[in-house]
Amino acid sequence: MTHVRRLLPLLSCLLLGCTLLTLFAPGGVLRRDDGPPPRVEGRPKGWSPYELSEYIEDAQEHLRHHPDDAATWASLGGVYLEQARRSADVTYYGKAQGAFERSLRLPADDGGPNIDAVIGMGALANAKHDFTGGLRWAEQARNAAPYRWALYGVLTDAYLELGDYERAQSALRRMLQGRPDLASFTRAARMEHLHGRTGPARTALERAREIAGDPAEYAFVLWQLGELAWSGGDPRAALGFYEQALAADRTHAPSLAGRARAEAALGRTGQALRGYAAAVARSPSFVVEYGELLEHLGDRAGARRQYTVFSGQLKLLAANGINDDLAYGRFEADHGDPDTAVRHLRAEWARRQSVEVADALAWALHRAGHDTEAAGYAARAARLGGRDALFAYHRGEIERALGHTGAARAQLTLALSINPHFSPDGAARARAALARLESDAT
Amino acid sequence: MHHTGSQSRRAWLLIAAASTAVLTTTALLGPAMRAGEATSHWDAPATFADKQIDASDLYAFTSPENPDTVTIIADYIPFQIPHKPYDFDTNTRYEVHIDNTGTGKPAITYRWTFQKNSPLPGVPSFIRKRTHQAGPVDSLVEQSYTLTKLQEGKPAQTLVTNGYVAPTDMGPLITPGYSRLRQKAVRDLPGGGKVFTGTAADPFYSDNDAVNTLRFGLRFFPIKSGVPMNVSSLALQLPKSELALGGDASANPVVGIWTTASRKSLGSDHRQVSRLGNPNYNEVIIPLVERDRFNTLRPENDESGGLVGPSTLDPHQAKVVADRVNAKAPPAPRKDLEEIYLTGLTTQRDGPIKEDLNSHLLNRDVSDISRVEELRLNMSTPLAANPDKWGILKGDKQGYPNGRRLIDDVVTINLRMLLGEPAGNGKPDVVNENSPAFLWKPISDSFPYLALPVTAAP
Amino acid sequence: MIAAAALAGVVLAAHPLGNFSVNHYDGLTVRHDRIEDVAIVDSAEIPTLQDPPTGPAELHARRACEELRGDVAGQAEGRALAWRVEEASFAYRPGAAGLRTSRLTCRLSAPIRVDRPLTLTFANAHRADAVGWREITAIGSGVRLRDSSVPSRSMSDELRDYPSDLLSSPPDVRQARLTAEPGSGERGTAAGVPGVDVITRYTGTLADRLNAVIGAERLTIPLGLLALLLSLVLGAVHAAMPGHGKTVMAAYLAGRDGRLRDACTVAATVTLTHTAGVLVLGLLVTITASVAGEVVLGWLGVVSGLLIALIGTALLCSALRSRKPGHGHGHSHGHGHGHGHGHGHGHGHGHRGVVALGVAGGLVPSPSALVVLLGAMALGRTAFGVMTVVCYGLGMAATLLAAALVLRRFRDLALAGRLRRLRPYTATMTAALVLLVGTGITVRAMATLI
Repeated sequence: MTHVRRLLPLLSCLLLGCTLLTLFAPGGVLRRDDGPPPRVEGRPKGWSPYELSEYIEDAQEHLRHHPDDAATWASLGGVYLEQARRSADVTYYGKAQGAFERSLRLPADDGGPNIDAVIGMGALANAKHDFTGGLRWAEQARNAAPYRWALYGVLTDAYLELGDYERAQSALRRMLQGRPDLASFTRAARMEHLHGRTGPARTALERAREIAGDPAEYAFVLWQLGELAWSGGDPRAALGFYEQALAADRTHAPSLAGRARAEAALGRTGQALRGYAAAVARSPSFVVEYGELLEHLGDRAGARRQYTVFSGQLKLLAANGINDDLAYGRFEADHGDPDTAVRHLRAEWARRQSVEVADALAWALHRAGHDTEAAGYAARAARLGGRDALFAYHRGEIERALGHTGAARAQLTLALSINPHFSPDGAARARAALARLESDAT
Repeated sequence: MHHTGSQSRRAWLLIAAASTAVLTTTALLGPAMRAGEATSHWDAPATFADKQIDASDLYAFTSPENPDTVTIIADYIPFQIPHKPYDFDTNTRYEVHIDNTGTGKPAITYRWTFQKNSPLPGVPSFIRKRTHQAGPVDSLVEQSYTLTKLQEGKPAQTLVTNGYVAPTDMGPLITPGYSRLRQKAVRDLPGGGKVFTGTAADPFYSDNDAVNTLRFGLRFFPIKSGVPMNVSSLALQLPKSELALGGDASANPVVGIWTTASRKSLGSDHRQVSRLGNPNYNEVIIPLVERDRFNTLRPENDESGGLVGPSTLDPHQAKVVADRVNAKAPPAPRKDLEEIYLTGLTTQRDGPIKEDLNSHLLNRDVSDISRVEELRLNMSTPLAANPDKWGILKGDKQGYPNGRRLIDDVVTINLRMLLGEPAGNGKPDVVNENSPAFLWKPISDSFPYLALPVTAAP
Repeated sequence: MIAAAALAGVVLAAHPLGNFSVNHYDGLTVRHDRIEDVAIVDSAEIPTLQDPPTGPAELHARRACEELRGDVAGQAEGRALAWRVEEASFAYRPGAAGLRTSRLTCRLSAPIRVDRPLTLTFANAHRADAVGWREITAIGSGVRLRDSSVPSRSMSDELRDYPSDLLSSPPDVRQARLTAEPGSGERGTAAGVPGVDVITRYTGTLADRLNAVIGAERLTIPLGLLALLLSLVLGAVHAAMPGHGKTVMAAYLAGRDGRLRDACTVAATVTLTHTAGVLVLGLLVTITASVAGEVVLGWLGVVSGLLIALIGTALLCSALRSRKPGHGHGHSHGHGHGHGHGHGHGHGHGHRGVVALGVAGGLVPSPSALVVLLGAMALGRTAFGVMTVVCYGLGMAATLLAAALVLRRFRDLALAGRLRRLRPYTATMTAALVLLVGTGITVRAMATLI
């Protein structure tokens, strides 16, 4: 028993020592009673402490505990949408829609639906080419909250795509007055460009560039500057902008495609093809462009493969009840059956009367042999005074088919003066047509 | 193929539909959801918000070691991560306004504008590769500022040109001896006073539970407590006589203060895009659908604007918060909130808070005031011997809402005031006094009272 | 084209992750002589169209897997692994709108030797720019994995069924890091003891519950008491479970005419030793990242097993010796004193032996107690964590006490009857049992270490 008496205090001392050591260990390793330590060094080396993906995780976690928080559902939807836009990962479109719908089902502030969810639904509808839907949501938002500036972005986009340029202008004006920011400046640039005012468009984009808050936004603005330079016929400057966009966000697919296009124009065919391959792997939006370059270079099989991909996309669309008739019509007019193109573009024109649809329909009609009607639409495509080489080329060809030599020459010359590289094949054909017109004249 | 139930199948259909529609236009459509409400500290995710014009906090207090002066600090560009430089917008006017008559009209406005020094105009600092390792520190400073004082009926007075904007602390390799840079950025103003412009540790201080409660159901911000961040500060230390009505700080001690950011639109006109007086006011009192609008309003239009008055008298968030903490918010009309936020505490207007503290009516030369939202400071309130983070709710008359000190836990105070204090009983125990709150960096004891910027862990 | 679209009506949905996603899954299996990777690439409709196979499917699969192999990188202790394609297959699956999706399955393998803890890293950079689901899992077969950065089960059933929760994002895991060490994971402990699975599962839930309570946002007093109670129960169950030699002590106590005081001594010793052990180990694990909990546990197991075996041997010796002179009394309580002087080795089988047995019983900290302590510390509730560990030890002690009492009672009953004749041998039998169990524990603990 004495042994035990001797041992027990020893053990007790040991136990006490351990306890004290555990409680008051040096270095703060164990004492975490002061709350979690700063996480700064543990964060990914991002640009912003609130990376989109991290925000998403936190908001998801919050909603697991508070599933009735309409505002957070709406913000999460917005971030999903932004994530879809940035990464071209379409999974997020469905998620965005789900989140917005959850938010809309919950009562918000004053009983009405959460305004950000309404605006988000509008943005989502626009992204899905449902511009009428986008307009409806945006108008609903405007009625409920005329000072929520984000809605004017949705409204402007919807009006622009529907071809209602006056309303688009006034929505944009309201936006610029209420809140001059990146969203309004980039839209202003687009509006100016549509009206052929390149200088103001560039000014607006330069302003947007100065306030771009993170790499993805910066890449978006730089890409737009690149598109502006490209459409003005300066592939070298455009290339510079695309490169800068990619320096900020190396996965920005539109800039990848833009860079490939500019490189092709500058004769760097190999780089251009590699660039396009990368772009279409990232987002299949550029397969037709890619195919046209391949076709121009004589790789008919490669081109056909890209066109197959495009048809596949259209089938998927159709299977889901969505008809992107503009893209379909443009494609069919150039690479398929012009009559089919006309049919689809007429349907599209019935829905929306934008200059892009007018041009595509004019070109399809011309390809189908209806030049007189085509001329009318071509004139409509030019109604804003925009400087678009492709439109001018289309118009020139239509005028030529109608025998209006002077007008044809003027339009073709215009096309080549705006952008001598507007399309690999088109530019060559424009030059040939012009040469023929010249030789006919002499 | 992929096993999905009928319900999720519908979801997939939607996704599929959406996916194929991304043919061209998504790229064309601009960022639509940039719902940036530039309000106090917590609003939109930073990636959406327009950080450059986001006024996160405004402080105004009698300088502790220099009691003849008042220190005003306006913070912009919140949540800066250490070692990263952030720039002010060169097309924005950052302003601090002083109203000493209680009308909402600024008697004095201090305006900062920024110019680029950068050799590479147009490329933002977050894109540019930093090549200087140990080069001249000044090459880090990409902007300089001009400070102008505007007064009604007087010509604009330029106080500072080519001012030095303190960069962030990039660590001893790039910014050796950082404290000297801080000193360089503090300069005297002609006619008395000091100014500091640049990066500092964000002194924002609050109780986490209070934040979560007060902001429940508002736009979600995943704020991580205890994460040290930096902020870009505009700080002034000004003689009280310069701010007071008629230059007489003892007779007219009350001033109302707010900060705004106005950005140049595509024309030459500047649009006010951000406004901040009382902390949390816009996000908590103003309904969501009007929050953007509040940022464009000038206080002088508050009374006639039809937004500020009614929102203060019946804030929706009071019910949300009360439900959340099992309390009962006082019934509308909330005359107490009106007194706190729009008129200042005074016994002269029969408000429910019977106290003469910080209303412009206490100024000898003021007889009538408007209901306008401003951060009101009575410059004659003596310095508290033991400042309390809960300000007037603990009897510390020098604390918020009588101005705002760096140590005031404004979120808790606002929360408790929303629940009825100090006019009624409210719910004083809604926030546990001993629950952990984070003051990441010590504040310093001389102007600008802000700690040096947080640096990344070594 | 129209016809195709009409046909497409048959097919129900497009690819769940959008029809231009390329989805990757890597299922890693670490064996003692190699690491295997089942790499699956599930391409949606558009990428399937973009990369049509050229030539027969097997050839295409082989080529595609070779390409994938080039994009897969692995390292063992910093040395690059040499992957080989063992098997390749490629198949189409019907997709939306009459289009097809495709599924490429590559079995890669690379030789390694898991003869000591081995840090393995893995990265898959195949089609890194493509949008899609990226998932990695890792399991060990014949080896034990720890500190794995990836789960062991696929959440998409290897890219067959993608979860569609609004509150989850598609995973984007491109790298894995884990340590493989010799030993066979959980399978070993459960082997051979029927019903232990049930107990383990049951205590597992209890431990989870305890962890949840300790991790609760606000620790109220009832919640705290609940946690302490739970740890008592857990400790009791833990002591009752076979394999740690604790039940043996009860037998020993019963076998040596154990007095209640002895039993109490053992219980106290077990509690103290166990608590101290958990605290020390917890401290070590927290302070130095280099200490691997499992290794320490293994060694402690060896020590504890040896200690028990030693006691068993001593008991056996003294039992045999005391039987020779024909004392019919076996282990009388006077035995310790009686033989103590003459035989240095046998000295102290009395109280010191009891204490040593207690130490041996409490020496191996129970992992669940350790987990609870570490969890509590991470939450800043260290003091509370210590309290739970103490309770855990008390629970163990309680079981031992109870078992001893029951066994003694049982023995009294049994010996009253026919088994009376066995009485002279009980001491020997108990001693042999203790020795056996001690050896078993030692061997098993050694096995996990090698």
